[in-house]
Amino acid sequence: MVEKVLKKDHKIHAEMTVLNIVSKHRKTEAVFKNYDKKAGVCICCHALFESLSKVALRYGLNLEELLEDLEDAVRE
Amino acid sequence: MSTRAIKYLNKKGINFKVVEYEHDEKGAEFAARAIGFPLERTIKTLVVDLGNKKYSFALMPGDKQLSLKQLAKVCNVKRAAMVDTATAERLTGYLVGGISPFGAKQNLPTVIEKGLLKFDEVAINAGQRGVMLIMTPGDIVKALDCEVAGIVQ
Repeated sequence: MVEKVLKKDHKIHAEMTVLNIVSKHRKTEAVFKNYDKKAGVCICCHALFESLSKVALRYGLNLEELLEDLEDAVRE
Repeated sequence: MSTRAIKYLNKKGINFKVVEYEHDEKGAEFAARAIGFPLERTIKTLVVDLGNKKYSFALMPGDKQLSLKQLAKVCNVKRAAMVDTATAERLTGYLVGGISPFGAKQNLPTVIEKGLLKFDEVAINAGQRGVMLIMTPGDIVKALDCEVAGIVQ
C-alpha cells in the first residue's frame, strides 16, 4: 500500500507526519480540515505527530485519496 | 526520575507531581489516556516559527488546534508557522513526543492558551517520552513568564 502511493514526483508521502506536512505546506491544513468530518476528530489536534498511513488506518480514511488531495493543495 | 525540565522547575521552586506511563505513541491524546487525565487539561507543547529566525512555544489544550493567525497577532509578527519535527528537536533538545517548554535548549518565549488557566491542575510533558508533570497552570505561567492569550481555533 505504502509503496503504491510513494510516487516520485509527489511532495507528500504516506510516512510523513501531519506536523511535517503542515509545517512545510501551509495550504494542506485546509485539506486536513476537510477530512475532520470523515475522521470524526480534528486531525491536526489529535494526530499531529502521526504518519498519514497511520492516520488513514486509525480513522478509516482512503490514503490514496488523502494523498491526492494534499498533493493538489501543494501544487496550487 | 529527573529530566532537564524537572531540574529547571526545582531550581525555580515550582511544585509539581511526576507521572510516568508506558510510551507507545506520541501526542497528548495517548498521554492523557495513559495517565487517566482529561485531554482538554493535557497540554501539548508546539514549537512555532515566527519568521526572522524567531521561534516560540505555544502551549495548547490537547484537544484543540492552534490558530497560527491568532498566535502571529499575539507575537506581533506577520505570519506564524508550525516547525517540522527536526527543527523542534534541534531548538528544544527534546525528542518530539517528549518536548517540554521547561529546560529547553533554547530559551523560547511562550504563549499559553488562556482557556487552560481555568483548570486547577494540568498535565504537561516533563521533557522525556512517557513522563508527565501535573501542576497548576498558574505555576506554568510563573515558571516561563508566559504570555496568556486566546490562541485556539
